[in-house]
Amino acid sequence: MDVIAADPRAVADDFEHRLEDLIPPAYRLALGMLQDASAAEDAVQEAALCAWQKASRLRPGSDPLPWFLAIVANQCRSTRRLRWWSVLKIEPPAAPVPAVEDRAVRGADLRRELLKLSRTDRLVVILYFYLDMPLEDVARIAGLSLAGARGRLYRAIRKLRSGLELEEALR
Amino acid sequence: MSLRSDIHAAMDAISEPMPHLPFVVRNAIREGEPPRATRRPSARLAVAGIIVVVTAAVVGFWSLASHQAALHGSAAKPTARCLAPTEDAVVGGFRSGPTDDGFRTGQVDVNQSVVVYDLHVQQGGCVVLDAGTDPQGNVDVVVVDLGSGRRVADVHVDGLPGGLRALRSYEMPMATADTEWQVSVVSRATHTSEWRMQAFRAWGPGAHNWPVR
Repeated sequence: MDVIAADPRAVADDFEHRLEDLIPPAYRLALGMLQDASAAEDAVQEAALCAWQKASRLRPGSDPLPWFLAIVANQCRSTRRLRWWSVLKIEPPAAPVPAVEDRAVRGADLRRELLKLSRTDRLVVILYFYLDMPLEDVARIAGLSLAGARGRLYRAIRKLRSGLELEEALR
Repeated sequence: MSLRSDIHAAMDAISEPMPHLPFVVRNAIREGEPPRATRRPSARLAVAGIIVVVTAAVVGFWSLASHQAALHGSAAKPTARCLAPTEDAVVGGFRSGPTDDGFRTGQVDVNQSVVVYDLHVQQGGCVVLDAGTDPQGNVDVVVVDLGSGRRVADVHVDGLPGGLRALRSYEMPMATADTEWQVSVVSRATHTSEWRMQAFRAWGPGAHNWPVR
């Protein structure tokens, strides 16, 4: 049976007003998935346009954040398919200050490990640890069951921190 | 430190403040397609619709191809060139796009290169490129810093199926001083390849891009 949505223009206007709150977490998600600030910005813009056009599908009164983040995650997947993603960087990075070198190296290592995860595992990790979202919302955004999201999270933790107890890692 | 705080620190290190992003997004939305009144069909109806559309497309294409073959004999020629924007392109040179879309178009012959842009880039600025080549062709896009003589970027662009398409270049490095950058197209194909390209200036990654005219 067809479901007739609410007035699309009114819903789209409402969505536009909420954008200011939606964009910061969307940008953080895109950054976590793509690990490139300008690519993340582009992905958020594309996703916002896409979401605005589909805003009439959003149920009135429902929280638009999980729905919007799911669109952002899909946009990130499309972005990573682009051929020019792998433009070479010729300029060497500036030498880090010794005092923060360890932390910078650890951060770079962790980002590299995150990129090695499958797209869905990385999405679950970024949503849970970087956006600090509850596992229920993580599952909904990633299109997984709660058990599936939990399983992927545990598996990703084992890959990222093999020596760490799960309870400790989940804090 | 916990894994959570480690991930926060690792990601915050590459994050950039984006105070302009809500405004940019809002502007993009206002320039975008207006939302349409949508109905949500059931999954079964959606699948049936897709099947009908695909079947119609296949039958239409088959009947069109048969008609063309009947008109022109056994070898059906393409009715339209897929690369209309480059119809008046010259080998070894380039033209600005036929419309005001900002693209430069041209052709490169085997082992040939074409300088497409000479750009003055200020310290901290960078250049973003959109480029594509015809389905059979492949080219390198090379950006050289004329001041230091070093290659800033060297990107391979494959021939894209389905016609000419633009791809966006991310992660171009920032200029470390005021300098001149030269953007060239270099052929890697065994035949003449058509290409198109557009350059944008940006003041650092993530900043607004200004098209180069």
